[in-house]
Amino acid sequence: MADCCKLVGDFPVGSAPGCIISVSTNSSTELNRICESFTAQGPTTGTLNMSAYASTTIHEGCPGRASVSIPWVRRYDCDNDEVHFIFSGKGRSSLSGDVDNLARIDEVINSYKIVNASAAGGPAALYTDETQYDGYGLIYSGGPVSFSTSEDGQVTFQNWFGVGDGSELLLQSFNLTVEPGNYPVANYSFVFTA
Amino acid sequence: MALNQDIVGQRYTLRAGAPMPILGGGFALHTFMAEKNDIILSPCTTNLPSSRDFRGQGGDLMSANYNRVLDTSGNIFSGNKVKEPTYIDEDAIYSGGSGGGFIECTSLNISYDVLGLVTITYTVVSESAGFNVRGTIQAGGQTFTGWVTSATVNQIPFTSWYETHVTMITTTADSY
Repeated sequence: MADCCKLVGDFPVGSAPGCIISVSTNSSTELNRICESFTAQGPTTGTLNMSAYASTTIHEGCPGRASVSIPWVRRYDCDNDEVHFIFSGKGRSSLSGDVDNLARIDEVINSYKIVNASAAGGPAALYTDETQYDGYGLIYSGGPVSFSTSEDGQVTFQNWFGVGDGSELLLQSFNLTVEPGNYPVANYSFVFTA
Repeated sequence: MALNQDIVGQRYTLRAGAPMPILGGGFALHTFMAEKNDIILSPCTTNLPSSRDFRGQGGDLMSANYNRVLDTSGNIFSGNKVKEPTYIDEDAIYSGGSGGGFIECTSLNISYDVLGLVTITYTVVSESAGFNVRGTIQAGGQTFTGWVTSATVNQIPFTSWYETHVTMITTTADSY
C-alpha cells in the first residue's frame, strides 16, 4: 500500500474534540505566470472541511437546519509574506425546524413559512411545514466544537490536525442538519494559511 | 453597527503647486500648508443632509453623496459627507498615525512621468486609526522619497481595522 493510503482508524485526530465523521482539506497557492520563465507566487491558503456528530442523542421530532457564513476580509502583506484574515461581522445565518436547541440565531431579521412535501412515496408520506428565520450571527452549543459568531475570539480554533502552517483555523461557514431518527450532524468549513 | 451610526474618516490634502525642476537636478515643491477634512461615512442612514448644512448656505459641509440601499422600507441610504477643511502643517501627516500596519501587496502603484517625477499610490492596512503613511518607499532597487500629497483613512466596514489610501509625489534618491 502506498504511503499516502492509511487506515482511517489510525487517523491522528490529535486534540480534536468530539465524534468526527470526516475531515478533508483543499489548499492552493496563488500563482501568476507573468513572464515565460518566471512565476509570481502569492500566498497559500486552504479550507478544512470537517463533518461531525453534533450530539450523541438520536433526534426525535421534526427535521431542522441551521447555518451561518462568516465574512473575512483578506489582506496580503507580501513584504512579510503574511496573510491577514480580518473578522468583519457575525455573518448571515438561517435556522428552520427543530434543531434540538443546539443553535439559535443571534439577531433574527425576518421569518417566513417553508414547506417540503412529496407524494412520490405515497399519500402517507410526511411533509414538513415550518418557519425559517433569517438573520445575523449564530450561537451553536452542540458538539464537537461550540461557538458564537458574535465575538471575534469565538470563531478561531486551534489547528487540531496540523494542516497548513499550523496557525489557527478560522470558521468561515457552518451548517447543522437534524433529521429524525439520526444523530444531528454538524459541518464546519475553516480557512487557514499554509 | 446600528442604523444611522456613522464612521468618521479623514482626508489629508497637501496644498501645493506642481513640482518645479531645479537647475542641477531635483525638484522643488511649493506648499501652502495642508487641508484636513473629516469624512463622515454613513453605511445605513435614514437622515440626509439639508441644503442648509452646506458651507455655501452657512453650514460646514463641502459635499455629500448617497445611494439608496435595497431595503423594504425604501428609505435607507448609504453614502458620505465631507466636512469643511481645517488647515494643518504639511508634515503633520507623518505624525498622525502609529506608522504601523503593512502595505497591502497589490495596492502599490508606481508611475513615472517624462521629468522623472514618480507618483506612488499605496494602501496601508493597520489596526490603529490615524494616517499611517510612509515617507519613503523602497521598491525595485530604488528608494523613493518625497511628499504625501493626499491620504484618506477610513475604517474597514464591520471591522476594527483601518485603511489609509496614500498618494505621494517622489523622486528616486539618486536624483537629489
